[in-house]
Amino acid sequence: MTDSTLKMIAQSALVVSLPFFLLACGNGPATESNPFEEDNGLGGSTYTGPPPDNQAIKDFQDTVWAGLRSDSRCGSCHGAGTDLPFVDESNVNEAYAHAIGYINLNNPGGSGLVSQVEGTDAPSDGHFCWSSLDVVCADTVELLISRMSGDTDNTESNQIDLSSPTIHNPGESKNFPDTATEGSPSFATTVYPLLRDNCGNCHYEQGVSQQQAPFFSNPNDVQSSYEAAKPKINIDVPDQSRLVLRIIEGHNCWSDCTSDADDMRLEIEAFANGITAQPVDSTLVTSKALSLADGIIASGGSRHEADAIALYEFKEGSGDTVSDTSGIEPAMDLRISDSASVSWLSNYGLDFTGGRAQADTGDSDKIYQYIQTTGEYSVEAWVIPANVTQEDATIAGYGPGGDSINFALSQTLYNYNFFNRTVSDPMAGNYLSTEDAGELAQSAQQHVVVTYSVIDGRKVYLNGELVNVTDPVTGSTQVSNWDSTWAFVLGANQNGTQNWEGKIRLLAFHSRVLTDAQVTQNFDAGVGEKYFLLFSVSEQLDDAGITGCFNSADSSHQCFVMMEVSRYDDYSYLFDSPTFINIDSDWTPPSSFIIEGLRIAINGREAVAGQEFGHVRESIDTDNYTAGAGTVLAQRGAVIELEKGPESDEFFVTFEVLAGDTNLYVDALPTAPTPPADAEAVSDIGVRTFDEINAAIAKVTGVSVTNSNVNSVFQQYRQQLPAIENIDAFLSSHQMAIAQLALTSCGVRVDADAALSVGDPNRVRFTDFDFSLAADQAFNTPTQRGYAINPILDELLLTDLNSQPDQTEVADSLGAATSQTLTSGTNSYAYDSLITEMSRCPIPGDPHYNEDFPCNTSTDINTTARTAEIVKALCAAAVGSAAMLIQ
Amino acid sequence: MLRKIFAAATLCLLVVSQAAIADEQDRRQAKRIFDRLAGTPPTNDVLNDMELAMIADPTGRDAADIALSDPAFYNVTLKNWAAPWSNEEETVFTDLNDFTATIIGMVRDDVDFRQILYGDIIYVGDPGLSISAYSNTNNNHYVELDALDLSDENVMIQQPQSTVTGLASEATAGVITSRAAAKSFFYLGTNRAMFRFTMMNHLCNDLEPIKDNSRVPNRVHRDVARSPGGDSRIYLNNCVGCHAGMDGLLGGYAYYDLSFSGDKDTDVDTFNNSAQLSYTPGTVAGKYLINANNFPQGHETVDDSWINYWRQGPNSLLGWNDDYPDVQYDTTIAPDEGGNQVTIGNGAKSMGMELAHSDAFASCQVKKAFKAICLRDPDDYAADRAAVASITTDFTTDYHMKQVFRDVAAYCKGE
Repeated sequence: MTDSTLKMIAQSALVVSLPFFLLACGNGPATESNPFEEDNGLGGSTYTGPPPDNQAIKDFQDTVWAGLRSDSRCGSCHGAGTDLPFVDESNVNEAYAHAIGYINLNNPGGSGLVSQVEGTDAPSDGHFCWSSLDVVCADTVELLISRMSGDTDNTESNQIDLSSPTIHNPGESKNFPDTATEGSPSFATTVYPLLRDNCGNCHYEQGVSQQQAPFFSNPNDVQSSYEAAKPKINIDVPDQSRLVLRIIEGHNCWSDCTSDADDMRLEIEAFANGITAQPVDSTLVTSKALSLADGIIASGGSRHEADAIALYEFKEGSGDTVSDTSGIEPAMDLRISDSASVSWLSNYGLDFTGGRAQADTGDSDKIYQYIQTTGEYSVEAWVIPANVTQEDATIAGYGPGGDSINFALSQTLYNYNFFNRTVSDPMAGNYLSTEDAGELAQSAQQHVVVTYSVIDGRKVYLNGELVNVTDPVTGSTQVSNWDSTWAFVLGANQNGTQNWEGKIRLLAFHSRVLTDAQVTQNFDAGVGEKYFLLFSVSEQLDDAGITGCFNSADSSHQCFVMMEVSRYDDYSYLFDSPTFINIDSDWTPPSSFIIEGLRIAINGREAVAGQEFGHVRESIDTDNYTAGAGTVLAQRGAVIELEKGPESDEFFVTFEVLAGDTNLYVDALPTAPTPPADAEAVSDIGVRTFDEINAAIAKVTGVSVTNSNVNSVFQQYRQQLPAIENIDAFLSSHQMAIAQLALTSCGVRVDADAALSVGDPNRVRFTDFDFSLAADQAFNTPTQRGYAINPILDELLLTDLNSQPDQTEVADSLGAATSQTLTSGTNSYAYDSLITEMSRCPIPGDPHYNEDFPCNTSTDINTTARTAEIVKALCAAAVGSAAMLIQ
Repeated sequence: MLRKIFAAATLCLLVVSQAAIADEQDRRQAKRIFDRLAGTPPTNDVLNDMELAMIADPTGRDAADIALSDPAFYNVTLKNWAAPWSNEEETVFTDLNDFTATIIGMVRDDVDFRQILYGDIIYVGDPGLSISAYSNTNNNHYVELDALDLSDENVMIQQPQSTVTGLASEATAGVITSRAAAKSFFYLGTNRAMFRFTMMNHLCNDLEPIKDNSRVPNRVHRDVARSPGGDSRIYLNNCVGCHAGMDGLLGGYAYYDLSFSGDKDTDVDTFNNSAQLSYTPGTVAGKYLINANNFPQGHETVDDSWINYWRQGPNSLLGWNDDYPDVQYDTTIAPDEGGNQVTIGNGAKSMGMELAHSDAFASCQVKKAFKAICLRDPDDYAADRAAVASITTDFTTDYHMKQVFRDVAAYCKGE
C-alpha cells in the first residue's frame, strides 16, 4: 500500500467499523439469487442463443446483460453485429467477452460501463445515458454489476482512497462587532429599530403577549438585544438570516410578510455592509480548510439490494420524474403530480405536502409480476413525517385506495400501518399497525421496513429493529388476488386521496423478505450523500515534533482529523465521528499528544450551535491509535447549520488543545439584562380563594369546615369558587358558589342555635334571639333585630377598622325598619331592608313577585319557619358579602 | 379587686382605642397582614394584639409573627401555596399529599428549605392518629390527614423519608422523590417533566427563557430529533437551547421511574392505587433509551451522572453556588471569565443540591411567597424587586421560609 493512499471500506459507520473491516469483508450478509435468473419476460424477448459457458457468464446474463440489453438502454448500439456487442441478444457468451473489459467486479462503481454512462471518462460525457440524469444510469449499471459480482451488499466493492486533499488556509470572513453601536452603520441604527418596534410584544423579557426567547427586542437595552440577535443574523448572506427567513415563513409579520422581510433584509444588508471582512481570528488553533467538494464521496456502500425491483434514491434533485434505479426493467419511474405540493430536497428526497408521485400502471405491473412469483416482498423507506397528527396518510401504496389496494404503508398519528391484500383479507382491511403506546412514528428521519411472506406474515421494522406486533390476519395469506391494473404511488393513494405529509429520502421495493440482518444492514448504511473530509493538522503536529505528518517524498499532508460529512437536511450538515488519522497506513504516533475541544467552523468562524465535540479530549498514543484506522475522537455526530450552501460553505476545525498549541475556549461573563420599567399598577387588594373562603365563613358562623353539610357543599362547589386572588378575575359564578356555601353554613348555625332555648350557653352565635316567635313577632323591635344581625356582624366586621364596611350601615341594610337609601354618587335609590322584604308577601309590581309562587301571609310569612329563614338569610347575606371576600 | 381588674381592662381598651384612633393605619395594616397570611379574617382580640405589635414594631414583622401562629396559615395558605407544584396540571385543586405536607412541615418547623430538593425528609401523620398508615402506593394517609390540623406538631411530624418509604437514604431528594412528584413527573415520558417542573416551581424559570444554544450539546439524548419534520433549524435554534443544558442535568434522575398498573386516564382508581416510585440503582430506566434511533449519534445515558453546563454562559446568571458538600467540577472544561467551573455529580440528591444552592432557588422562594401574599408579580416593579432582593439576602442566612412569609407580609402591609 502506498504512503498516500489507503484503501478503506465505504461503510456509512466508517469510523466504527474501520478496525473490523477485514472481518466484515468475509462475513457480510449472505446474498440471495434473483428469482428471475432466467428471462422474466420484462427485459425483452426470450433468449434463444447458446447457453452460458460458465457460472460467471450466467451471472452476467442474469444481471448486466438482462438489465441493459433492451433497445431503450444499450441494445440499439451494442447488440449483435455492432462494434462492441456487450449486450448481444443472440449470444450471451459473445456479449460477455466484450463486456468483461468494462466490468470491475471488485469495484463495481469503478467499472468502465459506469464511468461511461456517468460521463467521468473523457471524452465521453454521459455516454448515451437513457435517463436525463447521468447519475441515474450510473447507479443502475453499478447495481447490476454489483449483482453480477454476487456481492449485492457491496461490502467489498466500494473502496475509498483516502488521499491528501488540496490544502488551503481558512479564508477571511465578516465577524460581528463587539457592541451594538459599533460599525457604520451599526446594529443599533439598522436592525434594532425594526426588532424593537415590531417584535417586542413577544421577544422581550417583559413582552405583553408572551416572553419568547431570544430576547432581541428589549426596548431598554440595545446591547442585550444585539447579543440575542446575533445568532439570527447572517452577515455573509443577509437574506439567509433567520430574522429574514422567519418573516418569509409568515412568522408574525407586522404588515405584509414580503415587504417586512425585505425591510429586514435591507437593514441586515446595511449592517453587514458596514462590517469589513476580517481574517480568521489569529488566536484560534485551526485545521486547514475544506469545502464539501474537497471531500471524498463515501456513499453507496453496504446496502442490501439484491432483490430490489424498484429503487428510488431521488438523486435527480429537480424535474417531474423520479427514476427507478433498481436496474430491473421496466424502470418504474414516478411522475410528480404537482411541483407545488411535491418538491425536491437538496440532500436527496421528495417533500410531500399534498401531492403524489405515481408510476404508470403498465410499469407498476412489474411489482405484480414479481410478487406473484415470489409470494413475498419488502418495502423499505427512509421517511421524515411532517407531523404526528395526520391519520390514514399513505406514504407508499399500490392501488386506488380504500378497499382497492394491493399494498400500502401509511401513517396514523404515532403509528405506521401496513396494508396487504390477501386471499383471506381481500379488502386489505386488517392492517398491521405499530402499537399506540410505543409512539414509534416520530417527526424525525426514520427507517421503516415492512415485510410479508406466507410463512411469517407481516412484520414491521423501525430503525433496524423488529417491532413487536402480531399480524391480525391468520389463515391463508397468499397474495394471489392482487390486481395488476393498479399503479404504484408515493405520498397518496392512486386516486389522490389520503395524502401524506413528510419527506421520503429513499424507497426500495424488494421482491424478497429482508432478513433481520439485512434490515439492520440497510439501516446502518444510512441515506444520502456522504463525504469524508480530511482536515489537515499536519503543520501543528509537525511543529510539535510529531514526525510523519508530511509525506517524505512529495511533502503532502498526512495527519488529519477526518469526519464523515453529509447534508443532514436542507438546512444543515452532519459531521460524524471525528477521527484522527495519518493516511500513511504504517504510521503510528512517535509520541503521545493531546487533541481537545474540537469546534466546527464555517465560513471563517465557529458555528454557534451544535458544537457536539466541544468537550472532546483525547490523548493520541500507540495504545489507542490503530495504524491505517486512526483514533476515534468521538462516536457522535454534530449538526451544523448550513450557511451559504454546499458549493460555497467552507469548513475548518478549531481546537482548544492540539499538541503544542492551546487556545482554551473561555466563556465571557454574561451581561445581566437591564431591569424593565415598572408595569402598570395592579390592584392592591384581592379576593380570598376557595379554601380561604371556606375557612373564613367557618370562622364567622362558628360551623366547622368538617361539618358534613358544609363539607358536602364545599366539595361540590370547590372548583366554582375563586382559585386565584386577582379581583379582576372574580365572576358571578364565583359569587353564586359563595352564596351556596354561606347559606349552608348559616343554615347549620341557625338550625343548631334555634334548637336550643334562649340563653342556652351552647348556643354559639344567636344567643339571645327568640326563634320561637313567628316572623311577624320576631323582628318587631330594634333589639330583636340586633339579636338576629349583630352576632354575625360582630364576627365579620372588626372594631375600629376603617378598611371595611361600616357596621351600622350594614346592619341597617339588613334589618332597618325604615326605608334605606342607596347612593351611587350621582343617583339615589330607595330600598327596604332584608328583614322588611322577607317579612311580607310580594305584591304585583314588586320585583320579587312571581305569580307561579303565590304567597300567603298567614301560612308563609307569619311562621317560626320563616323566622329561621330570615335569620339564615341575614347571616348568609353578611357572610357571603365582600366584607368576608376581600382581603 | 374586681374593680381594679375592670379598670385595668378598660384602660387597656381605651389605650387600644386611642391608638387606633391616633393611627388607624396600624390596625388597617395589621388586618391585611393577617388576611394575607392566614387567609381568614382575624378576631378582634388577635387584631388588637397585632395592632399593639405594629406600634412596637412598625415594620410589621412582629405583627406578622402573630398571624403566622394561626393554624389557617398552614392548613389553608401554605397548603394551597404548595399544592400546584405537586402535579403536572399545576392545579391547586388536588388532595393533600406527601409533597405538599412536606413543604408545609418544613416551613412550620423552620427546616432549611433547600432540603426540599435533596433532604432525606418527609412529613407524615403521627403514628398515634387513627388514620391510614403511609403507603408507597396510595395517598389515603394524606387525604385523611388533611382533615386534621397540620399546624399541630403532634399531628404532623417529620420523619426520614428513607425510613417511611424504604428508599435508600442516598437516593432520597426531598419532594423530588415524594410519591406525589413521582406520580406526576416520573410518569412515562423521559423524566424531563420532573426537571422542567422543578425548574419552574423551585427556580422560577421555565425552560423557554433560559434557552442557550451556545452550550456544547454532547449530552443531548438520542431521542431528540435533530431535524424535526426535516428542518434542523428548529433543533439548532430552539430544541438544543434547552436540551444542551437540561439533558446534561437529566442524568441525575436516570435510575428513577414510576411503576404503576392501570391507566392514568381511563383506569384512574387502579392507577392511583398502584403508582409507586421506582428506583433501580445501577440500571438506567428504560425511558432514557427510547427512540434512540432518532439520532444514533447522540448521547446514550449509561449511568446517573449529571453535568451542569449552565454554570457558564447566560444561565450563569442563575447564580450557582459551591457551598454544598462534595461539590465536584469538570476540570477538563475551562472556567469562564469569572472563574465559574462546570459542575458534575451523580444522582438526584446531589443534583438537588446543585439546584437548591443557587441564587435562583433562594429568590424563587421569596418571589413565590411574595405573589401569594402581595398578590402581584414582584418582577414587574423596581421597588418590589429591591424588596425581594433584600428579603432573599435575609433568607439565605438560614433558609427559614416562615421568615420569608413574615417579611413579605410586612412589606405588603399597605398604606
